[in-house]
Amino acid sequence: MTVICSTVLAKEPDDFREQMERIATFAERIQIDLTDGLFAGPKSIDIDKVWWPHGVKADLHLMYHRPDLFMDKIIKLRPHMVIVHSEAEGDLIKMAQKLQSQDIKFGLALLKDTEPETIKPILDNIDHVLIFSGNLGHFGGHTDFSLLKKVKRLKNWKPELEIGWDGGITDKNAQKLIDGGIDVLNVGGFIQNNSSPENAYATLKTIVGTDMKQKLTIEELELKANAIREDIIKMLEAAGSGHSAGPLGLADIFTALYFDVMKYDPKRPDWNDRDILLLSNGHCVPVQYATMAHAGYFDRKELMTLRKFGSRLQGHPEREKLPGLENTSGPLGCGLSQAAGMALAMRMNKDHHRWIYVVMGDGEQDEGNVWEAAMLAAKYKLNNIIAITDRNNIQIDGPTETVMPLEDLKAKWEAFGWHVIEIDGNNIDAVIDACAMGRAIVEKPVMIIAHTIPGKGVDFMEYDFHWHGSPPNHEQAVKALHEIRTLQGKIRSEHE
Amino acid sequence: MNSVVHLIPDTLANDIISEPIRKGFGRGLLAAGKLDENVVAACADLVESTQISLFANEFPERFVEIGVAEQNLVTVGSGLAAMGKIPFVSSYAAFSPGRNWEQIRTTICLNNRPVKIVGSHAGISVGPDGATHQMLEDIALMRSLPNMVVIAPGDSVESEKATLAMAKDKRPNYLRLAREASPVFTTKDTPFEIGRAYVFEPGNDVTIIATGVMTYHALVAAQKIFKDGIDVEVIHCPTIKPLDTETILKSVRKTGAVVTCEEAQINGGLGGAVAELLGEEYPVPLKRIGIKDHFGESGNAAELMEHFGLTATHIALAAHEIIEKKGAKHG
Repeated sequence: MTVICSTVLAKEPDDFREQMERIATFAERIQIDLTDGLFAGPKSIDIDKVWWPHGVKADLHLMYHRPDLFMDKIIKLRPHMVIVHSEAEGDLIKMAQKLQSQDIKFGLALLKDTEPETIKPILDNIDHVLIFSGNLGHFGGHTDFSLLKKVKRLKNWKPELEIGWDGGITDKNAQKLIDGGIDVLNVGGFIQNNSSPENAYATLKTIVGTDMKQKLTIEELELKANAIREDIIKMLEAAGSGHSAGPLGLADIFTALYFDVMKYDPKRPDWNDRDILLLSNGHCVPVQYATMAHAGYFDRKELMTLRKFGSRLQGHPEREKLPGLENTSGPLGCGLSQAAGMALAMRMNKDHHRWIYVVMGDGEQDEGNVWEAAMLAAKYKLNNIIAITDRNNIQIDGPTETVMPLEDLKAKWEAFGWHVIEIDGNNIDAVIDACAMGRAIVEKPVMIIAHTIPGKGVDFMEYDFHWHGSPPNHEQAVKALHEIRTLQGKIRSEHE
Repeated sequence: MNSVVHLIPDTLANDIISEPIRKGFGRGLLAAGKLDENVVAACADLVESTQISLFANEFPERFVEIGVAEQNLVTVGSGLAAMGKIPFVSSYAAFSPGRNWEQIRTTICLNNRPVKIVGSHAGISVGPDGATHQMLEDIALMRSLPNMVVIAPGDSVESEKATLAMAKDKRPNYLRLAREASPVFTTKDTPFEIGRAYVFEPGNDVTIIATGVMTYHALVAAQKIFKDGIDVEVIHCPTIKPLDTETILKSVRKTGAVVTCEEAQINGGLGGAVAELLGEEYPVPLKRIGIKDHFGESGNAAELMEHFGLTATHIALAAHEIIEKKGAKHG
């Protein structure tokens, strides 16, 4: 996913404040350009005068001759990243190490005539490269697309490298830069000089793609979930085997996750900053496949290959077969442990900006492995795990409370040291809210017990455990699709 | 040959140094951790005895104490590996991979994550703890899994090398370690590569293929029967999967008779692997030394090795027998 980074470049503190206030209401990431009047002129405000609003990721772009002399001041400011020029004086590796040891990322900017080969030996030490196509010390500049060749070379050497562009970005050329592999668009004049900076920013956002789009309304989300249910029925009928009740019941939760809650890019499934979704009860994967297709990971036509020979859509999810899947699952009880391992690794990597969502079944919680993971996540306070239990009260042999009673489930999770939120899991709004609340809980991992109706949306499947592990035949599918289509009208009329 | 494989000058010396194989793992992991910050470790309440303590003390922020929960141990390992870590997860072999085979199968092997499973206290030589703790089926369990690499080093020096090699290997690995002190007969110059077997003693009459601590006993046996005029080739096979079929077949084509040695069930173990290879590629008389479909029992290591037929004398006898069989076949 490409990021839009709104830039600020000011000579005077008052001008700096004005620019900052202009973008503060919408910007998620900003770049503050600083010049020393020597490497680049005219001189900007001093580093002592720099500030930014709380909660915004701020990058400092230092167009300084001797950036190394300012490192201590910079560390006190706690920016997200510092970019210095590869052409500057001073030991770049030392600067990188000093900043990175403080959890601050380090980037290098390349002037137009600087070839990427000059920094190839130190690529392992840096987090970001800024392709500079602008005017040193001024907004604007000419967007020289020939510089995109540098991007290709850099990505060849280090595919995960984040690459930014600075210089002349507008709504007209943004797409071309994105297509050329740019990850961060540093936009100055197009936003700052616009009569409505917020509109300019929104325009760029729509170009940037999926999760930057305007959020869907609840009505749109409900319609999306309904369309996903239609696909689930069609897939299962075509497959002739598979689970119906769970996937239908989970459609609202998956819609909320993929179309509101999670940060990801279907075009870059291995994007380093993405949120993680682990499906622990792999048998419910039809809902994930259908949602992923709607989210743009692959064409919806492929859904009809579910469970067929040669398909990427295995009966239970297999990570290596389909980009976008984060785990291989089916045998129950493992998702939470994998999430714990991932969360521990993220902590070791000082990667604090990502969330791990785990969707798990209720019957699955008969497995001892689940409770081993529960204890570990609480012990290490793995607060970036948000687990969602699909509490539909059925499993293969019957109602969960008959097969193996789980209640008091909320008290169990609380006793294991988790923060528990209980919601109606077929209410998309409630799912979104609970996830937001979950992200705000810092001292504990979070379990959302989402009460869902198994087979939701298809009257003759709802609440009936016999549909746990069976697909509809043709006649049943026709009936189910008719019901789901009727629901579509109902959703529309409810929101009128 | 010793000049190529650089064993110690006298493998029969009375004053040969002994050290538990797991100690080498502890040193190797510490060294691997210093070389690569992505190397991390987790343990299931056996930090000292699996020797993962060296790493845990040096890198506490890269170590996870899981508690007595082996299913969680390997599955957390899968998650760590998913985020680019190279996790070494240790417990006793009886519990990991003994208890958590399915988690290893699904979340590590099928999911193809480079988790390093370290099973300590494997084999009959665990001794007094008895059958519950004498893990004999681990080789068979791990060998049956696609993507998994299975390694049983011969001594502590080799287990150090194996650990360093595992940290660089991109596949799921299983490392089998014994508890008791055993003779250190390789040196820092002895070659080790995952997937390679080595001729430690060249000969023409019979091939002895051994893994883990049994290689030392095979070398001793070879010297014993050399006095009887039998010229034994000893192959040390620290990687049981993938098997170095080239080295084994080359030797067997020359000798025409094979004895395998392991401190594990021969069903599905090294003996099983060699039998499968020879059965398909080059059938010759074969005798397998190892545990033959039994569980162990309490006793000291030497008593048990004797009782279950795992000593140099047993290997020497087997070599005699197999040569006779070969003679009968050809005669």
